[in-house]
Amino acid sequence: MAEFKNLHGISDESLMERVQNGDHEAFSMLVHRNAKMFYAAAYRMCSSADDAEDIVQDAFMKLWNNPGRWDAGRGAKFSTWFYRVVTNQAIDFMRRKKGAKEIDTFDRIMDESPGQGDILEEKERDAMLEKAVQSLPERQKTALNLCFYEGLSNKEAADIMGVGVKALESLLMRAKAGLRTELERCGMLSRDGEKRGQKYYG
Amino acid sequence: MVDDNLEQLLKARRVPEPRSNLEQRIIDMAARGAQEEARERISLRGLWTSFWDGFLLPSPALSMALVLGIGILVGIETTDLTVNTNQVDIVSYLDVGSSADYGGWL
Repeated sequence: MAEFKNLHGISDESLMERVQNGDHEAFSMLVHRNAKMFYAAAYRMCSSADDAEDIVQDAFMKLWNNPGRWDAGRGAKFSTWFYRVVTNQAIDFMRRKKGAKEIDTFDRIMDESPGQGDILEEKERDAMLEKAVQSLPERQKTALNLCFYEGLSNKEAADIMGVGVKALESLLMRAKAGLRTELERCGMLSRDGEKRGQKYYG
Repeated sequence: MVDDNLEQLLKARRVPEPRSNLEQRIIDMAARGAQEEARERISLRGLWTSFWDGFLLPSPALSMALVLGIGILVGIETTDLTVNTNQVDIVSYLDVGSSADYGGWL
């Protein structure tokens, strides 16, 4: 990051304006600052590290090739705008992939390395949790990811998804109910909402 | 948003680290794209594209209106000229006919 010395104090929004003038160094700075955060967001949408990397890569390339899509005049934060780009990219990616053979998250993670004891249990728990989240309808999952994991406000998440705040709240409620049902079904949560025993939280 | 137990469970969800060179790959790819674009601009294809771009109308509606206006104007002008030319032609034809040494047609 030493090469970006003169760009350190500059906001993402100002960097974006420079990118609009073809400044590759400003683009590099944006990537260094944000790639991991948006990779995590993409991963939560698709549950695959390779796919998440492709999604983030494609989203940044779109930004580089079409910087004019960023409208500084609207006063939106760069991160809010780019969440929308990444979310749409992830949704498109998953829809395209839907036709291909779906890989079961649980099987995939279990197949990686059947380790011993705690590691295996941890992997099993991660896989079940991932599967429960992935079983949610697309919009509910997106709402949950943006509000719960990315820490965006309901208003920001609603803007990104192009819905009203009330509609977003309804999506969140349904996501919560759906997750509860799924986690109860696989035994990670008891019917009264208590976490299940030692196996997962020992 | 979600109650405590569910929230605790969701917080346990983890994201694996990306490959270490993710950022560099993106940056390199963008740089490659910019270089290719520059190269394309000076290639034959780039020349052809620039040539063809010269024919593109920046504002088709305005251009059509302008062409229509010019067409009407030229049309009116041409009509006047045609009448005059015909008149001149007929007169000169008659002149030629009447002043010819070897008689004339009339």
